[in-house]
Amino acid sequence: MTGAAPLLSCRGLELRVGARTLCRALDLDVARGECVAVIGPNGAGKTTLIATLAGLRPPAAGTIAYAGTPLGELTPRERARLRGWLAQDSVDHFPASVLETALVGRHPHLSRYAWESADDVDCALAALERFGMAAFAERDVRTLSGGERRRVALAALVAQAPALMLLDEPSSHLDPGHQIAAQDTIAALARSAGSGIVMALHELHLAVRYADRIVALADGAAEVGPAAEMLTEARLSRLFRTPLVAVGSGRARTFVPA
Amino acid sequence: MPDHSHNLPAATTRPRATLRRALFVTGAFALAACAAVAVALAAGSVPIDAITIVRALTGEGTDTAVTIVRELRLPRALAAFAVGGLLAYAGALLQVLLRNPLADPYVLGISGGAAVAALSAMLAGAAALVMPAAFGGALASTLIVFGLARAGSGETPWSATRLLLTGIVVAAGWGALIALLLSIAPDAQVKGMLFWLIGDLSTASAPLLPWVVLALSLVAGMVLARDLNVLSRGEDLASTLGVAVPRVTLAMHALAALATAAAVTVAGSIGFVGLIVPHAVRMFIGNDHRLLLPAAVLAGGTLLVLADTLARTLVAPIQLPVGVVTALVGVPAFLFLLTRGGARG
Repeated sequence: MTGAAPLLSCRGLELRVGARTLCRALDLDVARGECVAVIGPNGAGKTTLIATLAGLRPPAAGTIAYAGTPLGELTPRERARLRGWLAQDSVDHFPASVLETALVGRHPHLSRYAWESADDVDCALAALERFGMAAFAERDVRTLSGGERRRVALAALVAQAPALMLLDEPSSHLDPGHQIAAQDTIAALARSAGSGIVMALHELHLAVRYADRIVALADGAAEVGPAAEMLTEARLSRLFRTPLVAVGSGRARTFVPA
Repeated sequence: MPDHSHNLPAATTRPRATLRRALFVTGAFALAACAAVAVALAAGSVPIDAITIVRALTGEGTDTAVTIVRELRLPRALAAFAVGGLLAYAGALLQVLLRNPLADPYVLGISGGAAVAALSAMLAGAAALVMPAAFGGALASTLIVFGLARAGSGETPWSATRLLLTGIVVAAGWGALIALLLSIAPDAQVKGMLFWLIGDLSTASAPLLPWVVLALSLVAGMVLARDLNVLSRGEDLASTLGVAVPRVTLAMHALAALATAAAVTVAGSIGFVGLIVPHAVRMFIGNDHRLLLPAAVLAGGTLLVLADTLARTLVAPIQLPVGVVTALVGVPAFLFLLTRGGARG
């Protein structure tokens, strides 16, 4: 592992689900402080790509490395200290307080028999505070709304403090205000800590606002390019197979059906 | 998504798990367990007072008292405690593994397999083989359920739902075989078989095997306790948080099967303890397994010691199978907790 190696590097990545090929020969490097958005129509394989990059399922072909070390050479614990993963949806099967749920993020940093220290609690509370959830620390997560649970899941990820964040629709369930607040928080953390982000996104306005580069998935192929080149009316209309036009300007630009 | 949470009652949770709280909770449950064993030693056709019990335990006092306390009541109470602890332990593990608070130690057909093997041994007149047969049947059934759940799942890893469904269907198959064995059994044997099926401690005399299994599996469970906390939030999340999911889940399945097999071997298939004890304990102390596992073991043991004491005193001199008492007491108690617990449950 060297500081110079990209946080994430994949070569010749091929994804398959059953007989369907979602993408082939994907090469992608994510540097410190960089934010990559994965966009594409429903079922294109955004979630599968994020899960594969997280090491949750093996790719059909190709290699993945975190900070220069191939995934196969890292233990689960070493991986957990390098990359964090945010699921598209989380289900709470058992009672747990908001604080306990965020503290789960400290798991890879604690030795097997250690109890969470005051520092760990502070870290989890600070993470909750960033997403406006610290006041809910003692509440049972199952009494929260979908958007509030989303912010708790984001706080758990921030408490994990991974250099590489793999996010599957981080702002699902969030209202417009909390979408921007949550994404701003993640982006600011990434900038200050030098983390890298790969996130699957539905809302194109979030890709415009936050992404440095875009991975566009559709019809078994993946295209990678700078956000400015990828987020155009012509390309997006082709990607989503529906005519789209740009509205707004600057950071507040987005694409809507024509 | 509209914010509707504020319409709900403010459901605050119990204090966070710390080592101090774990010691306190374990200590409180251990005291209750000791009290239950004391009751079990005192109660019966010959009531014995506290001082006589203490003297008898140290080998003093009248021969009758020593015999009753040391040779009859104490081994039975210890066997009951171990069986209750094992069932609650297995239930706690399986509820995490299947991420389903309705999972119990028998859900994967474990007791059905044990029952078919044990009843077959009884029918063949091989009384000495009943215990080894039950143990082998329990483990064999677990392996069958795993094999089937894995074989049919193709390239995708088997899910908790698939395993649960396979277990329920295999258990139904065992149920049919049990009914078959009962219908061809001579009348004289049917009662003994029924007692075994309901769960009965009157023949339990050697608590060494269940205690050894209980001690070893609890130690193994405590080693994995924080992994269990993470796993209860889902296998994928646990995996990205550094839990070696395939290894840990395999160990949990093996431990749950072993604990259940040991319990079934000693006392037949006692229902309900493995389902309600972990669930009820979770309502009170939360879902941190560093507290939950020892507390569930102690609570399960306490419950079964008390239930067995009731079973042998309630309509004495007739002895009820303890499984009847656990269900009769457990059902209303659990329903009460569930309705009272409300948002917490």
